[in-house]
Amino acid sequence: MFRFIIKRILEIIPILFLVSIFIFMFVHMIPGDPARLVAGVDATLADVELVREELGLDKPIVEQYFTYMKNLVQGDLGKSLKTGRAVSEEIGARFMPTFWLTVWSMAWAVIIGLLIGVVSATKRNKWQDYFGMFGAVSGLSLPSFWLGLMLIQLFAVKLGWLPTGGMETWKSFILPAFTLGTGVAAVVARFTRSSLMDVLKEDYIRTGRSKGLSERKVTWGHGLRNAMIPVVTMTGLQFGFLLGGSVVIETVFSWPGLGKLLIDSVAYRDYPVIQAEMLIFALEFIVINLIVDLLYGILNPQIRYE
Amino acid sequence: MVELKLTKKEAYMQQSMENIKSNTPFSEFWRKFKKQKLAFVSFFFILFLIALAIVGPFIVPYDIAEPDYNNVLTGPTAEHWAGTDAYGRDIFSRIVAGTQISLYVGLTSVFLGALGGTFFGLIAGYYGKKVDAIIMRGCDVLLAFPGILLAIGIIAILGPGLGNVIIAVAIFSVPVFARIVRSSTLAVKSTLYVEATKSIGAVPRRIIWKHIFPGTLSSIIVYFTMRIGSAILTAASLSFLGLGAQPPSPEWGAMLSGGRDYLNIAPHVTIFPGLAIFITVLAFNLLGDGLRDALDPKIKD
Amino acid sequence: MDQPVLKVNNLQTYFTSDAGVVKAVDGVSFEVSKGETLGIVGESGSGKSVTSLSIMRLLKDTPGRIADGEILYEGRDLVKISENDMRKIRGNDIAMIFQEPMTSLNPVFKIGRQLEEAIILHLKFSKKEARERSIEMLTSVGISRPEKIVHEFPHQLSGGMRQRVMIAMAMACNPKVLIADEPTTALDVTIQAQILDLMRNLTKTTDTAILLITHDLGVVAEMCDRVVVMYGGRAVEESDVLSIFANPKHPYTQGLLASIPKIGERLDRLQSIPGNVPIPSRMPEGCKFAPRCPHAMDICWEKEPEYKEVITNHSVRCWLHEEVPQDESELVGSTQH
Repeated sequence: MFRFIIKRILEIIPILFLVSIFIFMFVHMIPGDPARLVAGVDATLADVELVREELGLDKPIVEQYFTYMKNLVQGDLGKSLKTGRAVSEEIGARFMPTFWLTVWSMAWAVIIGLLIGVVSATKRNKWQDYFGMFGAVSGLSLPSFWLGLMLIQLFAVKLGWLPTGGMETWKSFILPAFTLGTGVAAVVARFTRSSLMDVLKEDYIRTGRSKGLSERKVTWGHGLRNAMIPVVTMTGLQFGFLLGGSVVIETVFSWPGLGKLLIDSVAYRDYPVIQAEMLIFALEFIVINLIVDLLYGILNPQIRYE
Repeated sequence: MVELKLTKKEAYMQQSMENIKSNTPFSEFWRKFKKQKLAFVSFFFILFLIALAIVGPFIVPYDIAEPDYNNVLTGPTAEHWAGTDAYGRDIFSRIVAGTQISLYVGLTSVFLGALGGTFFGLIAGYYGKKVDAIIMRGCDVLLAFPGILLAIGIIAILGPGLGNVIIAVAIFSVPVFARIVRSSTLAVKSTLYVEATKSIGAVPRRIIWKHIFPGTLSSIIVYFTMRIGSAILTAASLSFLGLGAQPPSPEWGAMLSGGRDYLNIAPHVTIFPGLAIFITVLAFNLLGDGLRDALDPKIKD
Repeated sequence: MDQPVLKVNNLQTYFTSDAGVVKAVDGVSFEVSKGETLGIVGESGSGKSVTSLSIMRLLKDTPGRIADGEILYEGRDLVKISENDMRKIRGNDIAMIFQEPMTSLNPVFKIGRQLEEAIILHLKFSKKEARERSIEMLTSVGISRPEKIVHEFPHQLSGGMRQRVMIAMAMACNPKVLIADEPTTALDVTIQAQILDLMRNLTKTTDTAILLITHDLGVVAEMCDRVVVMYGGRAVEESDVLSIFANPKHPYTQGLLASIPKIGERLDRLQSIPGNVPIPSRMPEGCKFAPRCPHAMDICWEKEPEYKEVITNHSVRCWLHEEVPQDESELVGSTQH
């Protein structure tokens, strides 16, 4: 197990390296002069040159990369063009709202998705299965921003039970978390169903039945425990989907998180913030996948007991 | 009498021969596909949408761009089936006209992504070693960014607009297709058939196109169909965020975005374009599911 | 003779698919007594495994169902009892060992837990007692250091070891009947002999009846008292093991016997039966074996022979052993090609 963890951590190092190059190159890929873009449209030629020097854009590109990385390690992500504040501060303030929103969305989505998946797999080709799977494919096809707006219309505007947006009380979480999790619940349900149906065909399930175990024990005890191994991996990948979805949902619900900041920054062409956001999202996704890989190792004794 | 007796045996033998003949891959596929009723219906619905995309702009009852300030934000009526928007334009006509945009964006972006992904996947899978390592690390980096974020990043560089949305969605589809095609290529490559072709000295390009590519085709078709749904969703999301199609384009996501401000007084402005997106994406997803079950027993439940 | 502990009467198990109804088991009858070992022999597709799954009522998740017939265990008809009652019999009165020891154990649970499950369920032991019983059972199947093995996962054991664990698991609740479906097919030859020895010794002391399902006549010769030969979902021959080997009546049994290479006898090629078992949906109308039979006559294509006791305790289903009307016997000859 220890070797497995080390191996996994070593494996992500080259990816981190490549991602850092990709993000570093980001500003350089924008057509036109990056110094002029960063300095802003109204800047004078002298201002542009000042920015160029400040950003080190006059130096060789390899040196620029090392400077960028050095600053990055020290937590210096540059300054926001819009507010003039340090990017790290801007992002720091927005991180937790997005974090909690994704956690709550994931939590309900996984629980409900698993339940639907297990019921569908055990009631194969019965009405429960058709109902669950049609619900899942519908959930997968719903435009999340539309679902969000419809929920606001119904529960906030018409019924007045829940707030239309913002993040004040726990009630503020309900609609955004429900909207954001729908797609993930659908994917988890579909995947759990197919994974569990595969597992239920295994010989050891028949062994369990031949011992006289009840269907419930066979499915939930022997079946689900094995089916969970691929489901966990797949659920980890869905975090990427959630992070992406949060950008849309935060805009719909005026959520003070990273996603809304990103859209505002794109509209303002606030490149240092966009660059930092891309980095944060990529890092988050890589770290979550690492955690999922480790969890996979814990669930699978063949890896745990090498 | 003897002849009569022998016919039973002959009939048996003959029937065995027929059984072998009648099962071509296509008839087998068609038999399985027809059983997927939802997918079957979706298939015809998509054909209908394609027809609508072609003739839609010519048959709509109202002009899709001309404002009519006498009929602003009216709910669904006999004249305006889906009501009118803030400029008095007929929403039903705009949705019909918008079919073209959504299908065009979905199909082109996934087609470009599949093209690029198939190319890289085949090369990586066939040549292996260094080529494989470089292509796959490239995919890892692109996949390290959640799909829509990569698209937003690309649009941040290229600027907003529908054309750039297509490029962005195509780019983040490339690694997905490359991975699938690569793994199918590896599987096909190891079959005896390809080994044999190689040993008689066929050139690599010929082997890839004549023997490996057809073997990967069924998984490409399945993913292609499933990907279109999510591409339409992504494109609509980006337009909703103001990064894709710009008003007054009748793109469904952009229409929806325009309706946001009137959610409490005229919800129909957001309801109908959203329904159009939902039903279209649902049709592609159901078709994809049906094709998967009929074509590819490996991914099958 | 002892009262049979398990008696199968005219069992019919049908599979429903798009192509129609397939009679996987079509009217099979046999019985097995205390301490007796009955072999059920046939190629894959003969219906022998479906027979064993029918007895255990483990046809769930297959399109199969028992259409007719009785399965009498100590006088109770297992076809008719509720699923709840059946669960109390499975693993307790009737236990089963499967062909694939590599995949028949759950990969995510420790050996101990998998053994204890049935013991706690049926014998109502406490966890501690069940652990003791598990270790005792592992010792009895010849596993050294059982205290250590209970803490291991299946992937840490070899195939032979896993089959021993399966046997320990099956025997843990002292079943009256043990169904072994190809228990040694997936194992090395040397391990095969050990496992067979083990099964024989274990059941001798407990007087357990064994239903041994196999395609391997070598295993039958070593283990069985009586044999039922199955083909195309039907029993085609049944007798005691000596008569079957010395005097096989059905051409199919003769073919099976001829396909075993004998030591000291040099064959240019292995004798085997040409062709395959027909797909169940494509069974011939007459005798199921006719398309592959070297002695097939016209009557064989026409009508299926009855299952008859031709000598005491020796039944066969073949026109060669029936009174064939005179005018048709002239047509005897090899028409197979």
